[in-house]
Amino acid sequence: MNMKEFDNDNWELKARQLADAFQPKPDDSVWLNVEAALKPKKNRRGIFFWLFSFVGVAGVVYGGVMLYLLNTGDQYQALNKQAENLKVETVVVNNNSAAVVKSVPTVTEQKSEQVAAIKSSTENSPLNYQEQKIIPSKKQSEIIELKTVVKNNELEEKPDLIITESNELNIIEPKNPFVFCGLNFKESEWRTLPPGIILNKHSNKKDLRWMLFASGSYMNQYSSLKSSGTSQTFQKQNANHIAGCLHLIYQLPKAKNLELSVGLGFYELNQKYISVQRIAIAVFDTPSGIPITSVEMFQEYSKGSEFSRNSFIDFGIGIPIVASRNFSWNISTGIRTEYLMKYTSTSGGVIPNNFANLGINNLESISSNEQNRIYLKGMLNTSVRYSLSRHLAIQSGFNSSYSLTDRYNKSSSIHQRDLNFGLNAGLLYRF
Amino acid sequence: MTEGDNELVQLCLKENASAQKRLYELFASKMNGVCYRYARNGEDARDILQEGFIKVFTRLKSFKGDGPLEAWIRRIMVNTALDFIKARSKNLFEDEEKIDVKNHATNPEVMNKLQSEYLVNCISKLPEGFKAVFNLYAIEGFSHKEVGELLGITESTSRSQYTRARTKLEQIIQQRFKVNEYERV
Repeated sequence: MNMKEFDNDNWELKARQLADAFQPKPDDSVWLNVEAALKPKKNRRGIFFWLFSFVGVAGVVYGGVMLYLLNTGDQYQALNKQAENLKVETVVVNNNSAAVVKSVPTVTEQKSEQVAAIKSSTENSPLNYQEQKIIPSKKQSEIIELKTVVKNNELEEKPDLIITESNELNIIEPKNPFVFCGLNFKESEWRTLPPGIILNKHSNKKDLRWMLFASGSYMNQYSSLKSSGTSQTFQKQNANHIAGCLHLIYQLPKAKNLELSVGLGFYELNQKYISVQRIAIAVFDTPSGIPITSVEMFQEYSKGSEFSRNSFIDFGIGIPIVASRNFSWNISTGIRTEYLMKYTSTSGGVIPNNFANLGINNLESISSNEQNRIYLKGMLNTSVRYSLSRHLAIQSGFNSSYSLTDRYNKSSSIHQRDLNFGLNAGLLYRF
Repeated sequence: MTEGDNELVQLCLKENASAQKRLYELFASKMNGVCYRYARNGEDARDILQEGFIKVFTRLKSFKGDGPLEAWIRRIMVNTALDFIKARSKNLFEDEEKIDVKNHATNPEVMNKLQSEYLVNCISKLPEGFKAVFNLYAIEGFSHKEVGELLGITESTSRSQYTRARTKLEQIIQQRFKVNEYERV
């Protein structure tokens, strides 16, 4: 028996019975979405009114804070007084042996090179100390004063002291920045709503999601600076910054889990630095002048502290990974550009290169110089978001960022790498 | 409409949340089966069901009670499913392959052995146009004239499409049944 023999009505009846018997239980989220969609909808015009009002107020506050920050910060100027007393020593020791020690910094920059070489006139001369002072000048970029001090009550100027060039040592830029997490915003589920609602699956209509995220962060920064074409290396340590930021977040209606954000904020960077200079020490045979051996070593060059105040704007993209009804785990990445508003330093003679060239030691406000560069910083953040209600959520996470910065002036450049780690926390409001 | 249905509808009209949920639970599984027949996959079925129930609750005022509530809800689900299909493919019958209508034969034994889930799965494999015509005519029980009106085609087109759809479905059933039998051996 084939289909032709099989009665059409029976076939359709059988098919209908089979089809009707198929009654799979739907997913729970369907009802949750239906239930949520049945709730009275908000007046969207009202939302936009409040959104624009909020953005307007935020803009005014941002501008006010910026003006305030540009005109304050005198407490840090006191630190600069210390710079007057700061001196840097380079000591070369010539012992009583038959050998002569020559100290040769290997810096090769044209303007920032100093080579001091000392020859001993007699084999039996006592210990010679050379003290090199670098004293900052308010009029000029810097003055390097070199003098020789002979201890053990034997003060002698060595006629064969050779000074080749003044050295514009220690080029230390204000630290930059950090990063602060700003970009963690991502979607989570709403406390009483299923994911389908958040992802706009309950309706074909566009249901825009706007969020505001106000946050603060604390981060540590690890930096490495190296001047170009030289063997001088500068290091900074113990930098930290505190930031405050406001982000506007937009959830793409069709791309489900994707969120875009733009943020404005400020941060202050406080750091202590230790700069290290690499020098080569050669031991010569006195009669012949042939070098016996040479070694390279790092010598502490200066210590100091810096303060800077910056504003920034960042753009990010994030993905929320929903973990439960109220919790979500978010990952975001973004870029940031920063603007240096204020900078002070205790570095004295070791002021940053760019500032040195401008003759600025105590900066009140920086608006047009090389330091005021714009550069990009990459960020990677992860955070958890907990929804307290339909509108309110708290969010906290771990932030990291990395930036490569090349700074140039007329004669040299500095390559700086910054790595930042920190924590942030904030409040998120959903419209 | 039964008294129970009437009472449930009245409560739902008053936006009683528990009544709404009860109504949903009463028909959700059945309507999910309807949605599955028109959908390509479970996710589409879920979307249709969700959209359909939102329409049910928002249009409940228009339910006059002159017929079974289930039939009214079912009609909404079918219309929602058709809207869903139309939105996805503008021309339902554009890309359908040529079917040799003479060569169709479903062994009645196969039909008797079929399980409901298996049949629905085979229906879901049909091209969109075939699927719509087959479901509307064979399963929902619409006439070819009604099917034509629902899909915007002529009555004769509905007939010819149905014949081809059924032939195609039988081929799918036979093909998959043979494979399954072979796998069992």
